[in-house]
Amino acid sequence: MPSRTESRPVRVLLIEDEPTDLARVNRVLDQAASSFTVRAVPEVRAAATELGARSYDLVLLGLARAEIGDGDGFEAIRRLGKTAPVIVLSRLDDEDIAVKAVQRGAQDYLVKDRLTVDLLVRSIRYARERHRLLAEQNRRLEHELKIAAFVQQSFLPGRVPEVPGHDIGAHLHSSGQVGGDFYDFIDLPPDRVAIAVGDASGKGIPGAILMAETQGVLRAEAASCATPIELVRTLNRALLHDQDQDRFVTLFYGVLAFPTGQFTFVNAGHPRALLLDGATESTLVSTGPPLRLFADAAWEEKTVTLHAGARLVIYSDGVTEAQDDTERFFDLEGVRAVMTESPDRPAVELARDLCHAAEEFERGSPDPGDDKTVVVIRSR
Amino acid sequence: MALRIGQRDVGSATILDLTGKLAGEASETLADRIDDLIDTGRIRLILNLRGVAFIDSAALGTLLSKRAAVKNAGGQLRLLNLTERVWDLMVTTKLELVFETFSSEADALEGFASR
Repeated sequence: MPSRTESRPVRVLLIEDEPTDLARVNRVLDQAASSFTVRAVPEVRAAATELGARSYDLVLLGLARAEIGDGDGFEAIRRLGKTAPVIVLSRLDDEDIAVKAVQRGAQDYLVKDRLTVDLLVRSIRYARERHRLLAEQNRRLEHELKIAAFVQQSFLPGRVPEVPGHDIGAHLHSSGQVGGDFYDFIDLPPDRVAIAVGDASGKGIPGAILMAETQGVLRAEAASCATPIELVRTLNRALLHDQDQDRFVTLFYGVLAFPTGQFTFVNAGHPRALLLDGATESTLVSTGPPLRLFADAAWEEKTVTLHAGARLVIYSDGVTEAQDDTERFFDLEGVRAVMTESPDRPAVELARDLCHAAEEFERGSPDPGDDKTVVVIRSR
Repeated sequence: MALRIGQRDVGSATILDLTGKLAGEASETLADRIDDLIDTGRIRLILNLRGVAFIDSAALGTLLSKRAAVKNAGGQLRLLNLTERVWDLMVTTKLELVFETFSSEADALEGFASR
């Protein structure tokens, strides 16, 4: 049976600094029926540059014992494996290390001393096929995530409450993925409205599910809780149904009594809100830990009064932690600048302007930005 | 800036010198490294955060879960040299009460390296 050969050579990037091993791998590939073009670099950093500059079908990563020992080898596998399938070539015949290498994204782990033409060629073929299937799966997953992000947007309140004496506006800029940011308004008749801004930690589906769960409980419980602190305690209990501690929710939750302008809030590990009242500026800082971390957590409830002309801005950390290309942060100064520039603009415009300013600030930064949520309350 | 991790073993303690942003995928990198250390029995861990200007919420979650993992293995995870922004995050989330934090390496090593 004629062997299936490719129309063009398989482009292999070989990372190897040991001359005898380099010669060995080249010799083995020369003997193969299918053709390979091999470019060799001595170390991982050069390989990363090379992968950025040219297309390769596969990476053969020769690892020394020391690199495996200090974890740098595994890190290299993870990094390079995002671009091309990686096969590890090692002098070490160690089952544990081999398994770990595969867990970190290597397609195969071969021992250099036992390299044969058949073994290497077969390994390369399978590695490429698996990598292709994985890339396809990832593309499908990304498509589904886009749909999920769209569904998530529908969880946001469709309208902003009309409150006598106050102008409320909100804006959420999604980073394009499903995220953990949310805001909500809940009418508490006859004369109060609840305002929530939250951020469930972690991106992707886990963060999105936690956000949806939080918002669901919040909507169900807000009306039956007499005070913000009671709501926060109820919410914490509801979210703390398992033991893993790696996901949590920061929440700024306040209730505005509109006849008096009194705003009573709990800040559960959320970034400080900014209150501008005439010439006076204050920040509403965290009054307790985030939700879903501790069963015995304690929060404090505080009350401020929103006088006529006051502006309160509550935001998520994606705003203040926006970074420009010199790694400066947008910070509270950025929030203040937007809020004081044209203080008489409607709340919804201020919220949108602040999101846009933070987005603009981080344009040019190599890192993808986070979700940005802003709620503005203006007292008339 | 991607996260760089340097490793120093001081007696039975291991110091990881972190440089860059502890955000996005970097928290996975750090989680894997800590798992590897736990696997090899190195469970007296100090994360030197002097070069970390920023930690995002996912990474904070990772620190919490790895703190628990190290503790379950019978060890301890300590934090060293928190920069201002990272410290601010710890205060906001009240986690400064949960983590053992140090501003001097000698103090962080106290009761660790000699064992």
